[in-house]
Amino acid sequence: MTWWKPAASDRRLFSHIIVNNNHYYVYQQFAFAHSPRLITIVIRSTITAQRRFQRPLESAGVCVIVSRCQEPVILSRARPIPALLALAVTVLLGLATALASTPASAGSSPLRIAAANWTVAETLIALGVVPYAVSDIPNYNAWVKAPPIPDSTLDIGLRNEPNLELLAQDPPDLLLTSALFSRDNARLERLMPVKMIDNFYTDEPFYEATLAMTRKIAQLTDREPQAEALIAETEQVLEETAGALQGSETPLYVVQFSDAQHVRVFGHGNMVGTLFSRTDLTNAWTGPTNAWGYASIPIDRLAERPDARIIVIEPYPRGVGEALKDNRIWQHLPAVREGRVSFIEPIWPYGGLISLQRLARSLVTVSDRIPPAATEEGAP
Amino acid sequence: MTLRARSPAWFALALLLLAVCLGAATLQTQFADLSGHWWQAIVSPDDDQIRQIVMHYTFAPRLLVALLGGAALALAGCLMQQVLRNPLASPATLGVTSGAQLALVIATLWAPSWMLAGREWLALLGGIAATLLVFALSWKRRLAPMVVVLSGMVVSLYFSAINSALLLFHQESLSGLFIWGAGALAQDSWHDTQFLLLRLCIVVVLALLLLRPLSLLDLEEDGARSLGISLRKLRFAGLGLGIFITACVVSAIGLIGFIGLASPAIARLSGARTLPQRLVWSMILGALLLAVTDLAVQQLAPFTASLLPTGAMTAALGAPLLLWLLPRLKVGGSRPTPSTGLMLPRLAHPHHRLWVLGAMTLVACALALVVGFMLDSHSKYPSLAGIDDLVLIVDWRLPRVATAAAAGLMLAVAGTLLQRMTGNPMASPEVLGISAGVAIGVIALMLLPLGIAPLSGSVMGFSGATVALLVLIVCNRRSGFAPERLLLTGIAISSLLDAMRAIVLASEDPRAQQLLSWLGGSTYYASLTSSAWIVVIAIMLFALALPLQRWLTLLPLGAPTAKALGMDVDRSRLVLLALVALLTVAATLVIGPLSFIGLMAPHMARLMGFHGARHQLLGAGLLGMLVMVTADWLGRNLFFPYQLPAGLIAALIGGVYFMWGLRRL
Repeated sequence: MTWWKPAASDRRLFSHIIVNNNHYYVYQQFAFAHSPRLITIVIRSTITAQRRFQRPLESAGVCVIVSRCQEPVILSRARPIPALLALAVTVLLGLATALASTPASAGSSPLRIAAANWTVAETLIALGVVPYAVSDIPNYNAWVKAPPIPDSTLDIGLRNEPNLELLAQDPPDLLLTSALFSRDNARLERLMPVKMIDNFYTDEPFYEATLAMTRKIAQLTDREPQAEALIAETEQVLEETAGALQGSETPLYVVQFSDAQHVRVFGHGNMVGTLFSRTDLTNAWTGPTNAWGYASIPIDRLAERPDARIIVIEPYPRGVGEALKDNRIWQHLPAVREGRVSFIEPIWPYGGLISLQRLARSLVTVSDRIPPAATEEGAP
Repeated sequence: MTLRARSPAWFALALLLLAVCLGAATLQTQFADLSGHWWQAIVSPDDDQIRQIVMHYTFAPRLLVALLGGAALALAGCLMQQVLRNPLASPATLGVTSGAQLALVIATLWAPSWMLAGREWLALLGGIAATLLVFALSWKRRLAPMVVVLSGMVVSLYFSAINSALLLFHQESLSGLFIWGAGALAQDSWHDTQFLLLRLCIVVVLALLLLRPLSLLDLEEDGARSLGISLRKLRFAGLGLGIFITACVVSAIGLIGFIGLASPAIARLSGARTLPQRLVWSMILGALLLAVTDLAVQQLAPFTASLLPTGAMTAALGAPLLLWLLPRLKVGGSRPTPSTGLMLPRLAHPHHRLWVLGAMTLVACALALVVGFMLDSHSKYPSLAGIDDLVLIVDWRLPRVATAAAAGLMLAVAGTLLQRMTGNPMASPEVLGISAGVAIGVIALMLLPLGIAPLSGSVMGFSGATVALLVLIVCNRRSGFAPERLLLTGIAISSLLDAMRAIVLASEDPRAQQLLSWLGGSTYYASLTSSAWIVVIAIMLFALALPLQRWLTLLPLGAPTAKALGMDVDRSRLVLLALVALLTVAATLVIGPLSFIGLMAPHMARLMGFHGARHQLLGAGLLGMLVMVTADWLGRNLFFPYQLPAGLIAALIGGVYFMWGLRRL
């Protein structure tokens, strides 16, 4: 159809179609065939899709009508009265569509999702969604590690200050924020739908909250089957862990070093707590914990349970490994003297189901290596 | 100062009793199982008994380190205040602590192997480097007190700005340094105790040797010089001693800021008059203050999941004490202004320079709006581009540029008013404690269980500022808002904020990062509405400040002169204070409690040659806007898409200019 030509301001619409070539195959057709008919394929009954296509087209002087069955009709600017009428209808129908919108069915084109939180990013990737943008990718790679973030994902800066100027230039279909970054939503919502998703700061226990978070993300991305599979897999890992750790009665400190004199000891309220409640393991730390399920304590308090084992989640802050060699308290702790200390690879203790699985597996591996009865290996 | 017949002994005795009670309580609650073996555990522990080991290597050395560290910092503060004749001088304000911290942060990030060589030495190196910088900046002026204090402030601000920027980007890797930075006294050997004891003894002996010449500094400068004292050598020696012992304490046990300022002040306020008295009593009070705080912290430890850092908590104990003491002391008239001796070039036509500044500000605003990163259509990665999208500029850049400009203007004006009103070159909105009040309110909001609930931050911030103002007025009404006491009140309030900030950071709350960025002065949360409001408010308040130039010209001459010229000094101070408060609250709410512009813009204006009250106000206002807008642009684009708070960058830009200006003096 020759009466519709893309205007200069439509460039961005095309650009992201090309950029996302790999992931959004449906758009490709649209880009090659300058036919408005094909838009039907990509426009879905969500407000996002409507906004994303309607606004650029309208700014090009083209009026888009989204009908109830999501079939757009494009009119040219040359006919002002129908265009005006169409505009009025657009607003009304747009509203109607917005109100009547139902979650898109599985199999339709995927949404472009930006995640401000590492745990959400981890879950998205685990569900097979390539996130459009994630915060602070270099630090994610150092602290969360798995699953890795695809190269095509855009870095949007610090977790608590995602770069809005960048997001505004090509708004994703959905921005998932967290408790860490939850201010100023009204202005963000003019750009894109914003949803706060977090597995902390809910009234539920950690595991249930994480399951709810995973299901919520799945629902927003049409990945319910994948989510159920992930949850089932996690359940299985947890059961295997419980089986493997059956009867291990030695109390356990799970810690991460802050410096050579202080540790974060994990307890109730995060994934370590989940593992303690799902297996026979007992937590040696019974003191209070904060909103993220840990307490910051000087290491001498690890002596309160002399019979306990100590599991250290790496990485060490720099220099701590060396400093511990001269640390008289650490060297005199019963667990250290009797070789009941083990180290596990970096895991994000505030993460999602993948991190939980990794932690569970690491605990089993470590327990295999060091039986509850004291042996002489394992001291640093 | 006139003093009541009272001796610091009472305070010391009360603190000592408190310390003994708390110490006994700690032994009873935490080492009850060793009951009867306490002494043996401390002196020669049984190697197989972990409890005895813990007592031997943690409890006993921790108590001693607290006593030694407190005494050492108090000694340092006392020496510095005597040498610089400024009651606000302290190890923290001279840049020693932030220099030491910067050295450790840099070593941790880029040369971890150096940490193995001993972090004491690294910290000492950093502290000495900062001090050398301060000395280099003030050497030409023969280490004149005012110049030393100013250089110290700016070096300190500069280093802490770099520190904060690094902490923002490496929060996870540096979490241990947060704990150190808040002054946790946890010990694992007797090493620190020996380290501190030896050095404290040496410094005390040297300080005793300097006692007589230092006492003569109580006289006016000329008087001391006529008695045949080399002022430069004396200052060098006195400051050097203070700095050395501070660096030792910092390296051994971390940043403990408030003791060095508060204990000499408390000793002086409670009746220690001569220098020897002040030295001895500040050391005793400092030692007890830190020990009591540390024991109290140990008592609280079992009940919280967070680490309560002793260094930061000293402010929680010392600040109320200082506030309580302040109104109980009569302060006569105004001190002579310490700004004597700073002769700066006067401009024949300041107007020309003002126009140039104004034009530069406009250009900076325009560039900040237009130049930025755009998402490239061919690659996903952003590239620098010009005007592209008006909506983008209006929606996302304009609010930040406008907010930065307005905040810069307001803080610069507030700083100018304060410095002219108090005649103290160290005055700035932060020193007055109002922005700290706002920040305390906002932090309290964050820490409340309903932290995420949409309870308005501005309501809490405003209440915080109101409380801070009330405290300021209650503590200062009777003295007629005498400058020195006003600033001490402000510092006490600000140090409460430091306590809260350090506690939050050390508790490793993931929200600490958000707090850090807001405290650094970020325009991130500016919206069109808020920026429109803030611009209107800024213009209105600026318009209110301009007609006050008569007061601003007379007040720096000192209260008696101003009175003799027919001015109602008390009323003018109250009005100016209210104006400063309004300016600070408005600016702090949008951009965080950043002090750098408020402190530096007035000085930068003076260095540029704007001396008259009106010219300084205009010049400082324009400079504040220019620096903040530039800083905001740099912060947004330097590490795109990562963003640095404008306040931090402003400190870095302003700091360079400031140091260059000081060198030129």
